[in-house]
Amino acid sequence: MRNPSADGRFRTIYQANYEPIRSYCLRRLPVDDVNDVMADVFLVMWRRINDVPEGDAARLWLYGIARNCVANSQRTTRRSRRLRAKLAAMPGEPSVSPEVVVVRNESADEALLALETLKPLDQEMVQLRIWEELSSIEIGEVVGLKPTAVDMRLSRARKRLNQILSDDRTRFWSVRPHRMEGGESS
Amino acid sequence: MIDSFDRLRLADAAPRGSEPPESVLTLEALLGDIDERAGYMPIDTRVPETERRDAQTTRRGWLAAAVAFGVVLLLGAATILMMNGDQGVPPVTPEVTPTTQALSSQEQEQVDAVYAAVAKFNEGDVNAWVDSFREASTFTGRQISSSYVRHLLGFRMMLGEEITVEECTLTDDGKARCSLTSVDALGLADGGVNEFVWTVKSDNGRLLEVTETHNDDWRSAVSLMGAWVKDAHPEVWANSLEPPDSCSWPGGNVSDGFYGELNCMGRASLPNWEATAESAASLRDLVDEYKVYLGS
Repeated sequence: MRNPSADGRFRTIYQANYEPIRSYCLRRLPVDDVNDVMADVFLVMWRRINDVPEGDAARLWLYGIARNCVANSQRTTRRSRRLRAKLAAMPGEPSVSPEVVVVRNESADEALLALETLKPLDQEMVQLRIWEELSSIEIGEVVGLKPTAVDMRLSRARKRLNQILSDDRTRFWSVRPHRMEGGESS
Repeated sequence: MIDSFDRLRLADAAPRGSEPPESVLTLEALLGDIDERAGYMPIDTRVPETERRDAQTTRRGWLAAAVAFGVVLLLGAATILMMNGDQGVPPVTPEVTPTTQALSSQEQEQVDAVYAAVAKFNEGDVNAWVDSFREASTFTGRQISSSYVRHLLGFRMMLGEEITVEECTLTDDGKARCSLTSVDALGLADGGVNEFVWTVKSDNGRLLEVTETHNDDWRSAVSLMGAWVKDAHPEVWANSLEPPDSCSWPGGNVSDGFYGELNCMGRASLPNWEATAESAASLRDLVDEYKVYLGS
């Protein structure tokens, strides 16, 4: 039996958070998986409507649920993701799915590959900071860490990413002149 | 060089204001999908009691499995020891690396204490880190209090310093003595020195003694940065790093070691951990600028 007040609350929170959760999923999953994961997220919310905090905290709560649902989805599709990563690394292959509406340039792709070298939790915190634009306090709410710990880990992650991308740039430029002269790079 | 975070911002697959792919369900369509699923799935606004019981049962199951696994490990270890004894295999020879020696449970506890403390430091868990120290422990020969551990070493923790356990040996009195390498969080490696060594002694599961050694080049590098902060960002210096008059640390001036200042300040001037964390954040934000200054 449905509870009318719960129904109303669900709709209110759903409408306020549909777009942020959609973006969260699009940033982390193949488009084909987005609908299922979004439905999972809001089904969990429906089941646990009494646990959903009031106000803006509801969004952070939903990010936490989405994080788990995305992780579940990624586990089931890990093999295909690895295959895509290999294909993306091969010269001449498209580096992103054609369904992705934003054309990612080479610099961004390098940054994404660098991001994948971080620990999963650090990846998630970096993504929450850059893409979801959350504060350290909010990130801490989502991942269950204190803001100071979030700051520290983000600082380390940034340092590591800059180091990796700096190294990549060196390698990139050492290869690029061969291509510019028209020859195939060996 | 473009900052990595800026580059990742360009890789956002769903930037604000962009239209989602057509295959993604609209707000109303997804709601219909959820409604349909809710109609044939056991959905309720509360977690069903049976599920709670299942969860408890599952937890008990995991606990039982973990206990069983622990018992199997202990039995296995005991069996191996007994077999070794039966076959007359001599005890571990001195040539074996100290960390691979068979340790008594008490000795293992000492080593584990060091590893656990290091893990807490690297995780940024300042409270757990403080709890790792025994009362009346010493840092580089000076007796330290828990607030001292919190402020001084917590400050460095917040700067992003990371520690790695390199090797542990056991002292004659059964305490662990471990060499730890700590990477300089300020990233002054360009100056040629970025590592220093902690020797940690643990006792009864707590850290008892920490001795830190580093060379003069490193001291010089951090002193230079301290001088630069004082000159280029006096507001940060005044709010975060300037030692109070009451400082009694032997190296109580800039030329005698930047971290010496932090040692003193940590004990005497910072009222709480939040202030320590803010100070570390202020300094951390200046590191990139300082590197640009060094390169100019």
